[in-house]
Amino acid sequence: MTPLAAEPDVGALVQPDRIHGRLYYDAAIFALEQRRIWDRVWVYLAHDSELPRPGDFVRRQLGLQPVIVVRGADGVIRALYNRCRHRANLVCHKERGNAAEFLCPYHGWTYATDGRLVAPTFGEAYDAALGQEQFGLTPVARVAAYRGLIFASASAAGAGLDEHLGAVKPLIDFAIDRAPAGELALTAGTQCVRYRGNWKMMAENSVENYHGPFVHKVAFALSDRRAGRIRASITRRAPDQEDETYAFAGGHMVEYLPRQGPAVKAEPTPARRAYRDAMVAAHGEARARELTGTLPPFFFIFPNLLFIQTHLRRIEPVSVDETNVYYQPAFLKGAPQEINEELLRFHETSFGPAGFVAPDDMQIMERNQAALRARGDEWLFLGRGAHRERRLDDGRASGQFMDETQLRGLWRHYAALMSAP
Amino acid sequence: MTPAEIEQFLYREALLMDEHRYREWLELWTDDGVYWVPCGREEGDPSRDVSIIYDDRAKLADRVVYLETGTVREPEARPLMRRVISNIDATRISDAETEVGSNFVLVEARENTQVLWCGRSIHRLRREGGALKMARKTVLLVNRAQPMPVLQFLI
Repeated sequence: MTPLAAEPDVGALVQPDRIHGRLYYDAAIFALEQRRIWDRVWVYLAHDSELPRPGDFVRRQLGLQPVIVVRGADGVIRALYNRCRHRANLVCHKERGNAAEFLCPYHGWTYATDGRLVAPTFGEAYDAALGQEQFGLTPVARVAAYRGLIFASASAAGAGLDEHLGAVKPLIDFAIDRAPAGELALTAGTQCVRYRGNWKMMAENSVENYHGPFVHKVAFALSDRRAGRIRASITRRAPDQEDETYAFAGGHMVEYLPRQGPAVKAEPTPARRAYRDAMVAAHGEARARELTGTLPPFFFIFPNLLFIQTHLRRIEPVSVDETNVYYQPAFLKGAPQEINEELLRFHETSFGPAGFVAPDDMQIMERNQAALRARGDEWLFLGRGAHRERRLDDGRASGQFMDETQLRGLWRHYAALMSAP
Repeated sequence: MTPAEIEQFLYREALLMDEHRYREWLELWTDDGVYWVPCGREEGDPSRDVSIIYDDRAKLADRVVYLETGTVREPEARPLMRRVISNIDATRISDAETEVGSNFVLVEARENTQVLWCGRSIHRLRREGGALKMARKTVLLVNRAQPMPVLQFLI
C-alpha cells in the first residue's frame, strides 16, 4: 500500500522576511488550504443589496465549495450548500435571480428558499422511519453580517465574525459612511477576470503600492491628467509622515494612499454640492468633512475580500495556479445619480478585464507564476522596511508607504492557520 | 452606403485592430463616438450597470496612449492577432447613418497561450466629409458573463 504523502510543513516555508515559492504552486498546499483556511475561517460571500427581496439568491463559492446565498421567504439570509441531498446535483445553476423554490433538475427534488425539502413527500417509496425533514439542503455552519457584508464559516467553532474583523471594522465603517444613506449598493453587476496564478498573489498585489510607479506609471499619469492635478511625488515625502502600511491581527492588510500634493480642485458641480449637503445632513459637518476629504485606504479582509477605491473585490480560488477575481462597483446609497455614474466610469477606467490598471497586475501575476518554476533559489524576499517596522500594542504592525509590513503580517497569519492541526 | 463600402470599412477596421495600428484606428471615430463593451448576460444600461469598456472620445484617446506604452505592454509583448468578420447585416438609419451588425472570431496569441474571442459587433456608421466613421460601436462578447482573461487590445 502506498503511504499517504506527508502533510506539507508550511511553518518551515514562511520565514519572518521571506517565503518559499512552493506556497504558490504546490497542489498539496492548495489542498491543505481548503481544510485549514477555507473550511474554517469567515469567508466573504455577498452583500445584502444583492438580495433585496425574499427569494433573491446568488451563487457563490466557499473556497471551492458551491453555495447558494439566499434570502428566504422569512427575510432571513442563509448560505446553503448547492448540492441536492439525493444524489448531489446542483439545485441552483443560475448565477443570480429570484426563486420561490429550488428544483433539482435530475429527479425533481424541490427545496424551499429556507432549505426545507418540500418534494417529494416521503411516502411508500421510502422507509417509514425516514423523515423528509432530515433531507433539507445542508446549511453552512455559520452566517453573520456586518454592515451589509455577508460572511460564512464552514466551521461551527472558532472566533465570531466581530472578533475576526476586529480592528478592520472602523475602516469598513469609513468606507460605507461615505454613502449618505450609510449603505453601499452593489447593484451595478460584476466584472470577472480569471488569471493563471495563485489566489494569494491577488491579495498581496492589491494592497502593495511598491509596484505602482513601475507597473501603473502610464495609468497613473492618464488618471492625473483627467483629474487635472499633479500627483504628489510619492518618493519625496515629509519625514514626519505617519505610517501608512498596516498588518492587522487576523491577516488583514491596510494601505493608505500617499497624501496628495496641492490639488487643482475641480469646480464643484451641482451633484457634488448635493452630495456634500447630504453628507453633512447625515453625519454633521466635521465627520462629513473627514469622510469626503480623505480617501479611504485600500484594505484586504482575510481571506478573500478587498475594498479598493470604487469597488469590492472578491477572490475565488480555482486551482493552485488559477484564480477568479470579481469586481463589483459599490454605489453610495443616497448620493446623486451623477456621483454614482462618475464612480462607475472611473471604475471602468481602472478595473475589470480592460481597465488601465487591473490587467497589468494580472499579467504581472501570470509572469510571477511562470517564474516560480525556476527553483535555483526558491525564496521570495519580503524584507522591505522590516528594520523600521513598528509593533503596536493592539497587535497591529505598521510601516511606511511601500514597505512590505502588511505582506509579512499576511504570511504570519497564514502560517499560523496552516500549522494548526 | 453600399454593402461593398460597409464591408470594406469593417475589414479595414479589423486590420488596424489586429496590427495594433491604434492611431489610424482612432481616426475612424466621430468626435461624439462611444465604444461600449457590455458586461453580464443582460445588455444593461451603462449609466447604472458596469461595463467592460465604456469610452467616450477622450477616453478612447487615453486608451490608445495606454495601449502604446507601459512596462508590461512593451511592443514585443503585444499579442499577435487575426480576426475573421462575417454575418454582416446592415440597417439604414438615415441618409448619413447605417447600423451594421457583424460577427467576429478572433485568435489572440499572447505570451505562452492562445485565447479565442468571439462576439457580435454593432457599428453605427456615419458619413462625414466623404468618409465613413464610427459614431458608436457595441461589442457583445459571447463570454461577457463569465470570468475572462485580460483584454489588452482593441476588440
